[in-house]
Amino acid sequence: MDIRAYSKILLTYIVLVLMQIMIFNNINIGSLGITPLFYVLFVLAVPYEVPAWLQLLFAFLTGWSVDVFCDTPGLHSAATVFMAYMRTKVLEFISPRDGYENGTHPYLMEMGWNWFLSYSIPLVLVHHILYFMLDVFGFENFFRTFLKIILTSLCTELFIIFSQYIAYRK
Amino acid sequence: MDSLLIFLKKIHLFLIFIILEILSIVMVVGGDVKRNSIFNTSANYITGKVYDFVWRYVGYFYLREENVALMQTLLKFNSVNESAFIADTARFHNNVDTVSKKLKYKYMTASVIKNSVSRQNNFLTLDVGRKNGVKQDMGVVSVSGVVGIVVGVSDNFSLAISVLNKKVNLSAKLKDSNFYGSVIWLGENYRKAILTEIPNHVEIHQGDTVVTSGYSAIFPPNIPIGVISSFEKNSEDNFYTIEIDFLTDLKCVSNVFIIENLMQEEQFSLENMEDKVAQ
Repeated sequence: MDIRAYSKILLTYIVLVLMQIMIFNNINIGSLGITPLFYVLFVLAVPYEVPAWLQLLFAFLTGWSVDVFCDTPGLHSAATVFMAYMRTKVLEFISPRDGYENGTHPYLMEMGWNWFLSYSIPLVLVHHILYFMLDVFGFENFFRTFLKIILTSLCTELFIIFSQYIAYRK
Repeated sequence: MDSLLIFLKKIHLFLIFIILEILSIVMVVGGDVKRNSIFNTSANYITGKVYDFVWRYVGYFYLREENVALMQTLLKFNSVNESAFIADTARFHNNVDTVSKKLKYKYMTASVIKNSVSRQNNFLTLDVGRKNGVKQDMGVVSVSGVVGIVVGVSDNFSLAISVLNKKVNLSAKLKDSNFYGSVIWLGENYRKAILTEIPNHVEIHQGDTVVTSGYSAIFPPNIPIGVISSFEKNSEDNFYTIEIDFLTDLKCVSNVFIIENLMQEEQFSLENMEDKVAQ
């Protein structure tokens, strides 16, 4: 990992947080008010080589930044840190037989559909479940919250796949 | 000693995870904006500047709705304007004594630079702050109705709690009959809220307007909140269950008035006395 790789992470962080607050926070679909949480792509896109503890710190910083802009103290931070921690587990679980080759990235175009979907879907779900559970802070309106989690995850996942075609082509 | 180090090395990731998670949860639980420092909210300097910048571009998207609402307000004023009446020279009708009137509410305009409707507790950020004379507990209204209440100010920005917030309890009344109650948002549809405490014997109709009561020392009386969309009688507690539609579309509110009640402090201190007497 050299300085270039880290400045790329920094750039990703700035772009994603700005996109979230400038574009995605203004999207409200339907009466449920579905707002895609696109910035979670940051956690998905961190290179494998970054030490795991640093990944957690990055995730926390990203979540907290979005929190500050959205007036949701701690909500995004908690969900994003949890997602980053689960990422280390998921990466182990679905790793190729010989581990991850040096110089490869967790992108759709490099790892293929099968791998990318089984990597991103559980992580996005985990993030959204924790986020909405903490937002409601309880189990009232369970069905509604459940529906919101599923639809928002779907929306976020679609944008993430879309982003793979736009920004992460080979 | 070595085994301790090895153990720590083994679980260091989990430890960091737990620490960060606890830090976040503490923020969630203690996250009442009123108690939190303004730094942790979108009204701080940096986030305020970013939203201000964003608003310069995003603001255009809301101009159409804004113009329609402004036209309707102008219409209302025009219809009570002097020019709408025929001069009745036969009678002396200038009987409004302007001298003995005292100013109670002061208005100021502001732009919403950040807004949300999809969460359980929504807030707005406004582009005016302490330097412009904004203080806590001022009312925020749009041309079509109530929007929120200022809960925090920084030098250049202020944070308002939206009526789309489960912690807000608006003192409201029926425009026609003056029976009062509270408007509460249930955290579901951003266009709908409920009106409580209206007794069963009052005659109400679908489409009746619900306005602010003026009891709260924050909003002047008779500012529109919403219209009744459905209601049913409750045999258990003798109060209606009333659902109202907000008159303001809070999703596209962009320019607002901030209302200062010049006698607010007086009313607050008097009401505090009420608590003391009750004790």
